[in-house]
Amino acid sequence: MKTVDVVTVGGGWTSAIMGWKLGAAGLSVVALEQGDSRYANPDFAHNHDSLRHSVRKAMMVDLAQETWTWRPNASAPSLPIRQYGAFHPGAGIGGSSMHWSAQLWRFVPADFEYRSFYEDKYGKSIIPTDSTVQDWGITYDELEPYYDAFEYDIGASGQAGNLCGEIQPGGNPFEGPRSRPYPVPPLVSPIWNDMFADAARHVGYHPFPQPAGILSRGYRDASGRTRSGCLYCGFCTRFGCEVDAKSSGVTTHLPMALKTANYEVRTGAHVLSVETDRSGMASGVRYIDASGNEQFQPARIVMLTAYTLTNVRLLLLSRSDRHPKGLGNDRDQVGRNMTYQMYRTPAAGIWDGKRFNSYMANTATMQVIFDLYGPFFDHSGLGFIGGAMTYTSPGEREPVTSAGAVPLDEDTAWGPKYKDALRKWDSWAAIQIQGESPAYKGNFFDLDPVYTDKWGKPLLRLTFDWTDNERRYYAHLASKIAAVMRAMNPTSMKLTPELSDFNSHDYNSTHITGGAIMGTDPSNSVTNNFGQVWDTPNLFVTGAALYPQNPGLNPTNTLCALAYRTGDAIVQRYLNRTGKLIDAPPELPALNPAVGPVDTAPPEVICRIPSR
Amino acid sequence: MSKVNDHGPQDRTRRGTPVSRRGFLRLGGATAAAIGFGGVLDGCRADGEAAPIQEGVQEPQGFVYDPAPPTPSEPLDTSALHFFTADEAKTMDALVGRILPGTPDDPGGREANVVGYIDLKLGLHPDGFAQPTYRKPPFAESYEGPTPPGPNTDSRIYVRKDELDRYGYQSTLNDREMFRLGLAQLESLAKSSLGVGFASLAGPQQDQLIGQMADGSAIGFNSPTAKSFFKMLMQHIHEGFLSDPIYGGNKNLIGWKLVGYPGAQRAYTPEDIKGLTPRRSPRSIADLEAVNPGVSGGSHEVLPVSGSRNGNEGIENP
Repeated sequence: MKTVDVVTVGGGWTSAIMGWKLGAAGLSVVALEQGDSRYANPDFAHNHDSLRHSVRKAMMVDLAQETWTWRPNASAPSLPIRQYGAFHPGAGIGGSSMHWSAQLWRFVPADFEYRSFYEDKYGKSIIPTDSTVQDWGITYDELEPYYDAFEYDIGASGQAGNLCGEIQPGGNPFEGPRSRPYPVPPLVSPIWNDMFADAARHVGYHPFPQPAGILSRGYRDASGRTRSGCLYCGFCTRFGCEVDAKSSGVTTHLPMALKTANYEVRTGAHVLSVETDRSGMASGVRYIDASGNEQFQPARIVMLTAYTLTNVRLLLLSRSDRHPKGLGNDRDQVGRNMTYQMYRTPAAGIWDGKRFNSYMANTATMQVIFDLYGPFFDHSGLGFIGGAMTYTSPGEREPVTSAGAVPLDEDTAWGPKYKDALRKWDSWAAIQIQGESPAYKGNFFDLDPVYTDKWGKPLLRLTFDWTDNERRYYAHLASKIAAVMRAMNPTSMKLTPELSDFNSHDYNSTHITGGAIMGTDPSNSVTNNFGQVWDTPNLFVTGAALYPQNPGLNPTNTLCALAYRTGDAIVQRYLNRTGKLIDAPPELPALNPAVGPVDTAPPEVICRIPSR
Repeated sequence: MSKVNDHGPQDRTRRGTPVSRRGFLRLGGATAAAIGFGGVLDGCRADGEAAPIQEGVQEPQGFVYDPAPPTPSEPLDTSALHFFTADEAKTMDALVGRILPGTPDDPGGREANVVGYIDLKLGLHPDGFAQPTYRKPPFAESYEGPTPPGPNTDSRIYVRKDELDRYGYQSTLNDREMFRLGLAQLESLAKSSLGVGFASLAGPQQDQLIGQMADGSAIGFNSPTAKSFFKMLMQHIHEGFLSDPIYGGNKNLIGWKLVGYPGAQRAYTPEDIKGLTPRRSPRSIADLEAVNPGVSGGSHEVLPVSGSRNGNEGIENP
């Protein structure tokens, strides 16, 4: 097979970004996608089917071929996730971005300087002893131009809360400064969300509308396509958008990548490993094609652009004489800092006789507060780090997946009382959290010693559980949230004051992160802040595997902004010194000689962000 | 060369059977005419313009849907079953009648053909699984007490009984076996403790056994356990009562009318979301109008395949 400049493992959003950026620079880019292709027209034209999508997981990876194992700790046995539960990775072009909820967050400045933030403010002792949280090695200010570019390219909706350092009414006053307002106004706020916002303001919090990768009105995106605003149809998360109002890898970046005439996607391609040459550099990718034949695609640059778990697993599976423990793992860094998020409902209420129309709209039509997010409340004497983005029940409630969720007592599980509970299906609402997941020594990825995939390769094993730190922060937040719920005076209330055990079957968000984290040098990370693997400089990783720990915010905006930055850096700084690190790691012998930094040209900005 | 080398759908209908894009009318009883290709989106103004903030909850107009039409509680037709035996179907019918009770005027699970949905679903899938499921051994063996009966090996994995629930579905049984064995265990329990089969018991006695399954105290349930059987039963009842009627359940949209859900709709306006407009009557996917009436589909109209350049003019490179 002919050598290409770049091969990407996965045909999702960051692959399309690379196809666009690198293809435009004249590089030939091939994407190997395990799923098939699907488009708004005609694939999503009649997809208002909760059973097919939400129950039977029509858009997800086929677990019958490949799954993951989980155990709560290193002394417990691991078992495979046999049916979908805690997380839902997508298959097919666009990857999970086809069925995502499109909550489009920028991480806040303190998220990028996580350990420093807590240590500087509260002293070193606030960090739990077995925690391995660390700074990212990149700052919010460095990433802001790329956030900005990505948001304008897709048409992000939202209300700015901090414009060039000026706090804006109606937005999130805690966010990092943004150089421009959102290109599109926020999505509509449903009835219950307005109620919550009033109550939250009443107790001194600062509610604002969820920013979203969903158009709230027509918008001409960077590809030149004018896309429709959201129809609020109520079939969004776990569904493809039938009018492309929900931005994805396919709405905007795939058309731009194809336009370069240098991007090719091969569907039905299952990647087995990254191969290396005698010098230890990546030489290409071995995969099974759609006809079931094994192929080798040679490439000058290999990029792992798949889901976190696939990227980490491929690093570990790709062993050679030069990399006996796997790629990126010469210093035993792969797999560590596996983090997740805490997806919980501390308080729910029923308002007898009310209807909230909660089946309309989407899962980004919600009100949010950051007053309980880690950096924004005082942790003195509380005995924990972290916090959570706190939000209301969104829209898109589907009866088939929420029939058992009406917050009544246990004895209503069946019979006449249960039937009566169903009559209140649209009369209840909740206050939910998406909490931070600090990193610990005890939470990590490795290869399972027993279970294998369809091709006989070991599955990735997740070792993960909550710690006392999370139990403490949950209890603290739950008491604050209960107070908001009480202020709303529901007919009845169900409070959950304590954090329940982690399990692998209740949905907990698909935001598993870490395992191939970025950092400042090879002793604390797998890659530099471009996702370039320290020990294999022509191998790049994109996505949330790069995150040293997981803030309580959805990961997609950040990983796309990082991909923008990496794409630009490859074109501007890597191509004339191929095979070398883009930046030398400071204070450690470089694995390869490096040149001094060359200025990149960030996207044009209207104002300059004040430095802090 | 710029293209999506689409190797075709791998199995687009796998998780949706019996519904596929073209084939969903096959078992749904709807007609092509019902799809209504002439329609336009009703009142769809989704421009995100902020509506005035409501003070507290507005009580939406037309609070209650038209109630479900009177639906007779007919005995289950056991002559056209896909999976259950006639006896199993009668037991299921009785279970559903107690778990989601109904009358012709306030119909429940029996009236909504929940058992018919479950029977069809199990019949259509060779192992009963309609969702992707990893089935490689070893399957976990549970133990009680301080130490496992032996070391974990490549072929045996021991998990403490009180920890096993955390791992989700780990049964050696597929959904068909789960129903077959679970119903048989229930039947033996009914006969041994109350003298007759479950379907012949009086309602309160049936409730007693259902309660024992729900709390795990039912005697004689080994594989599946009472709790896991009850959990799977409830999941299937939810599906049959509340999923689209094209799958055979939710007859007369009984489930959706009970909860107040309008089913498949193309669009809601901000005014709808704020509760300022009349409520809609529920409808099935089979009655959903087309997105772009008169436009035939095809990925080539959206993006090029196999080297075609159509459709991408005017895109700026970075």
